[in-house]
Amino acid sequence: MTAQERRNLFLHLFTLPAIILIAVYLYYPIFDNAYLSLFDIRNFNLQQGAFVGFENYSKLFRDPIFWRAMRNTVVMLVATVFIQLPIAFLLADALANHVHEKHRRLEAWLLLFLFIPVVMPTPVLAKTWRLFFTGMHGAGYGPFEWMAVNFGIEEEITQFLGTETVLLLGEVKIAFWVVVAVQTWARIGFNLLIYRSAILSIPAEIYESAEIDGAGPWTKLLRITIPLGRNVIGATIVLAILGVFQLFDMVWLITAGGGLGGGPLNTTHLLATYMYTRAFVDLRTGYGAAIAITILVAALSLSFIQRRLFPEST
Amino acid sequence: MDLGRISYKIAMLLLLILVLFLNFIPIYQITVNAFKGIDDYNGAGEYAGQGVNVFMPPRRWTLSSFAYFFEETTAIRAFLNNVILSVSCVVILEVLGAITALVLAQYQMRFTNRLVQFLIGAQAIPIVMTMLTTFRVTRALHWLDTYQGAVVALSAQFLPFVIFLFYSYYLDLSREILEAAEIDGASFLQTFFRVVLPMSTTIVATVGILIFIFVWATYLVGLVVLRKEEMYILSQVIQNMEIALRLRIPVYFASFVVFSLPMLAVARWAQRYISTGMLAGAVKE
Repeated sequence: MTAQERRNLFLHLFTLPAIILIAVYLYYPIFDNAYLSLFDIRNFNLQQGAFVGFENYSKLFRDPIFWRAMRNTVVMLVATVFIQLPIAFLLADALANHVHEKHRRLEAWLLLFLFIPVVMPTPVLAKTWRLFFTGMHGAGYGPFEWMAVNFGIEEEITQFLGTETVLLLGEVKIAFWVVVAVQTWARIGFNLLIYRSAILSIPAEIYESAEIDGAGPWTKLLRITIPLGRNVIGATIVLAILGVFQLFDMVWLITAGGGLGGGPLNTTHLLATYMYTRAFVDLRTGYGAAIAITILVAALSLSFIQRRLFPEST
Repeated sequence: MDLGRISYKIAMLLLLILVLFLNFIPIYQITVNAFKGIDDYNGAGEYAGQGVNVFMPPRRWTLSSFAYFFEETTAIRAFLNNVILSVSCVVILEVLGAITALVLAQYQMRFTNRLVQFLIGAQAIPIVMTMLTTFRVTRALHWLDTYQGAVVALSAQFLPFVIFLFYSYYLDLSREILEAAEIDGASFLQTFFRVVLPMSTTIVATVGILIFIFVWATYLVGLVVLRKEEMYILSQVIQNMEIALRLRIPVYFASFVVFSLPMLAVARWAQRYISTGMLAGAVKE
């Protein structure tokens, strides 16, 4: 080994703290959960946990709430990829290609207002929307109900949505969609920023020559911006896929009124909130671990599939 | 002006208005209710018989709800907890992340690539699934209800991402500068602190702001590791106060304002650094 190589090896010692932290808090849980999921453990009490093999998993696959949570998670992903990302991209295109050069200050203000939901802490946004749709614990109207009553459209709303009241977060059929809507809305600004930077780096000459050839804004969008933005779009999709399995804060805080999340009749659970409920609320450690492993497998499978279909994205 | 241009402008304008409107609702709701008196909101006391006021501007603007909020001692303690956690995590992640990434990027061995995959690839692991183990590990270390327990867990959570950002950045570092420092007899740490760090202001700022924002609003780790009330962070306090404040909703909104202020303060920088930082990370390689 040369002196240089020896030095490099020595320097790798500095990476040890990072290795340990990541190994213990991120990789070890995979094995830990796999192990725990084979036992019927309650309340983290390993001594009294009986070995049950794959029984937790077979119970899981017969668990209607689990499948509901799985379905909900997929729906959330679909909403993100097909609603949130396109909206963010379209707005980014509009800002970068049509506002940026001529109306710098306007763009700055628009960007700020579009970005505020991203910096506001999730718990604040979650509780604000929760309060918007429900008066807390019968302590009074929320704005939504108040507006419905004030404008006299309470019946129109309940008929249109097929609900009994306008307290949407308490309605079994609608609560989840409210959650989807809020969660989808919340990250628009984030992806908008990423897209805008990417679009701004597209050379202006391409657009100019397209303009000379008579291309209008839609053509430029479809033929130039989107194809050249393939990589960044792919990257945000990867982030969305990995992210949807982690979604917890917003969903939990919108539906958990100082107590348990899950929404009316457990209709708003995502995989993450369901795992938390079983593991830390019901204290069914083994079962929760089985859910955790399932989440891991699902997330990795999806991202594997995604990388097969779109090999260029990060 | 042809149809394409007109339809594009109209479509984009509508989209913009929709999103801005949706963004406006919560901001308006918070602002209007935080500066409202409790009786004003409930339609009680001096406003008895005038009806509730849940969405209109205050009948009288007041800071009384803020005053009430600060008299709840848990609130101030929670704010302090947040500051401690956020600052600690930023410092740890910056130093640890940068040093690790520098070694990986500029002092490579044959196994370095696999190490990079190991460290950065951990981003794919869903954090929520690590919570059971995080609880068990933290408990085993007797770090439940301690700052270090939460800080270490949070740092581990964001470390792969931070290393990823620094690594992408340091790959482009010029070797000559490092070698020049070495020739001058500088040790690795000296090189890092005196040469590399001053050159990394953009990435350090990006990481600092991102981590500050992430940790400030963090909830799950708090739920799992911080179980005593005096250790609660703001997100937990907000969740728990919902029932206690159900008849004092303006106070609840006042807490939102206090909780969000530091975030709004850094919003402008966040905007700038997130677009450059995330883009560099996302599109590179």
